[in-house]
Amino acid sequence: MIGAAIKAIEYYLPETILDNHDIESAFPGWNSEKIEDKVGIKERRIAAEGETALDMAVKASLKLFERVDKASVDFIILCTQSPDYFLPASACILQDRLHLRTDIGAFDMNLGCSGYIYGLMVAKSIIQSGTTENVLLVTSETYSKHIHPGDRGNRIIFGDGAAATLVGKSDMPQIFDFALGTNGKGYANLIVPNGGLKNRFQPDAEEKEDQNGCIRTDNHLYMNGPEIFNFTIETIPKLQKNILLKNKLTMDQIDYVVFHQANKYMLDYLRRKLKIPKDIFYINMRDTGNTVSATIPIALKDCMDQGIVKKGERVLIAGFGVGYSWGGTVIQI
Amino acid sequence: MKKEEFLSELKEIMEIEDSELTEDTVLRDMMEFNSLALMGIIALIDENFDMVIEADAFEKVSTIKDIMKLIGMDKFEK
Repeated sequence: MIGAAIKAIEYYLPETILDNHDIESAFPGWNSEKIEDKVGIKERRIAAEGETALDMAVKASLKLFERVDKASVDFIILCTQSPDYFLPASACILQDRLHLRTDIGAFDMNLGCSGYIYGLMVAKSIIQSGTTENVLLVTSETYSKHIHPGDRGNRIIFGDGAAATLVGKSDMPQIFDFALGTNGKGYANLIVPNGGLKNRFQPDAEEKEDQNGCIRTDNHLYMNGPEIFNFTIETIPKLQKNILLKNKLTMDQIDYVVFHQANKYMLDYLRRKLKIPKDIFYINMRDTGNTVSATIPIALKDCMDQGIVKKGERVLIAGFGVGYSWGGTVIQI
Repeated sequence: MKKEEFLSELKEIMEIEDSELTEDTVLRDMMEFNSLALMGIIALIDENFDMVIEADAFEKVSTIKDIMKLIGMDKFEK
């Protein structure tokens, strides 16, 4: 049986750093140590003016090509919610910017925090079907461009980042079965309301201030944090169970767990609720913030580089958020 | 969970050190009542009462007693 495996991961973070001291000076009354303590984030990277998710995708991919042969890439999946254009798909432009072969497939995928999981799932499927052998999966996000400068809450949480993963054919299946989920009922709880074709971008959109003093307009990202938290604590325990069921595994056969790095507070609670031991549960978004679809590959790369996960170990991964959309699987390193 | 335990957990979530919370304390009067604190309250209720309360419901609450009513007064141990 043909299997698929993660062959290599590289990531790129933009240069500009927004640290907690910057946030403290922009929003008096907020203490930088306290922010780090609560949400687990010390600094996040912010894409430069004019630097788009596609530009970051190029940079992450070029880093990857220092390690893998770019001529082997025969499919591109680009996951972003910050595309350069409505059309064409950024993935097509990425093919050209990277000077990849033209006899390959490419498309964009519009998903957020679950995007990496869905990307892996599609990559694995098209490899197993015999369509392709090496998929370049890029997850690149610039939520900072969707966030109002006065929206303290979201500016604290989100950072920009891009990850490039090579998913390739392998003799041993190293990407196991997936459990997936969708519930569009929650669509309005994490949304950029304007700018699409339903509600056009409004140059004079009204500024609104919520009860936490965060300012935004409907042209900007809106997140109902507590409701997203509710979604997570209801959904993830079932997701974890389904991932294990699908793969006929139990938790003691899992060496490590990497969830989407949403924020430390949420992850701490999920870990406790799921009774996962601290030493096998990854929480680290200190220097990146929540980079949406890039958090899982960034975490996996760091875990592999630092020897936190070792060759042969089984890692349970799960992504969840905007949509609502969620999914997970087990990978063998 | 007893009412007193609930109040003391809330005190910790809101990071109140210098005053006591009572059932009549008005939530919005407290500096620390933000969305992070709200997540703390949601977690507290999920963990101890196995209940998920919609975030919107919290918008209508005024006092701590109102939160306890959302959970159900009969759910607290005597």
